[in-house]
Amino acid sequence: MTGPNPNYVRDNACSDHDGPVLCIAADEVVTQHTFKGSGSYRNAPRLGRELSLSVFRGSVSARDATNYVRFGRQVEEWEKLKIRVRRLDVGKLRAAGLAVVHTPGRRVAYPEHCSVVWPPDDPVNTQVADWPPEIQAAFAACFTGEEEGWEE
Amino acid sequence: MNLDALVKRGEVPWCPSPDATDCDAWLVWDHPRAGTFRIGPDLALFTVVSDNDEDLSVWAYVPVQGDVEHLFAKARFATGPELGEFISAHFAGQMAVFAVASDLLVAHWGEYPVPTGADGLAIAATAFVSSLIASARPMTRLQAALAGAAAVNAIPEPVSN
Repeated sequence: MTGPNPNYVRDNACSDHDGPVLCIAADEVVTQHTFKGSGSYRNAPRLGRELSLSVFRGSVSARDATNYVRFGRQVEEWEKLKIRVRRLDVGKLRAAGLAVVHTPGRRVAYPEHCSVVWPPDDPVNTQVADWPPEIQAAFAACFTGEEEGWEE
Repeated sequence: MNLDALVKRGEVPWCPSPDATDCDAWLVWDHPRAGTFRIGPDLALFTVVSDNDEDLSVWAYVPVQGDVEHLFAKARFATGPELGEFISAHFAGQMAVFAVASDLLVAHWGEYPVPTGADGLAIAATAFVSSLIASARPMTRLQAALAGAAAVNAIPEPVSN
């Protein structure tokens, strides 16, 4: 089986003069999206499938987040009832031993896209999917308490 | 391109064959959701059709003809919806491969024509999944129908007196 692309973060990292890690300030928040309702956010990549978790830089609405994930395809009314976004504190993510890498992509212009990576030593070049339980718990604990659903 | 060679069981949907090379993710959210890969010299376009963070997801694949391959090499999109329109236009009117993945590994697939129109991919994917359900035993089909009805909140809550 072909696994996740180990060069994805490096190839999609931004070219900001501060670098793709430090260009995201510690006092910023990032937004995580789920289709399955509160309490269903993922706290680690899927082993053998992914190497990082995607988040949006800043406070992105559930509608805009879904529009990116679905690339504009229709969202059904029953789906809107479950879609949620939550905010995570970048400073806390770093303190927890994770890195937030700005990865806006090459094909689709989406300047808000970032990748949360573990371990933080060389996150642009090296990502490990098998986050230890304490790292998963620490990731979840970076939730700021702010969560939104779909708003018309 | 031999459509049957596009996907293999047990592979990730965005690089769905041991023979796939140049796997190029155009849009990523945790994992690739649209992009291209090659089987030998031939280019193929892929897209997720339905993926709601559940265990099962549906993906679609179509060959890219040589005379339009240059459009793919230089393709850049200002927004996600612009990418969606490009993909829908390329699938419209084509015979495509649809695959259902379990835990992001290809499990079943089949060839279906994609009608023109904004819902073409969804219509063809529904025909594919319906064929999988139709091949099951009657009680399993009933359970699938009930699960589907519950998923779309089609069954109203009982009114208590």
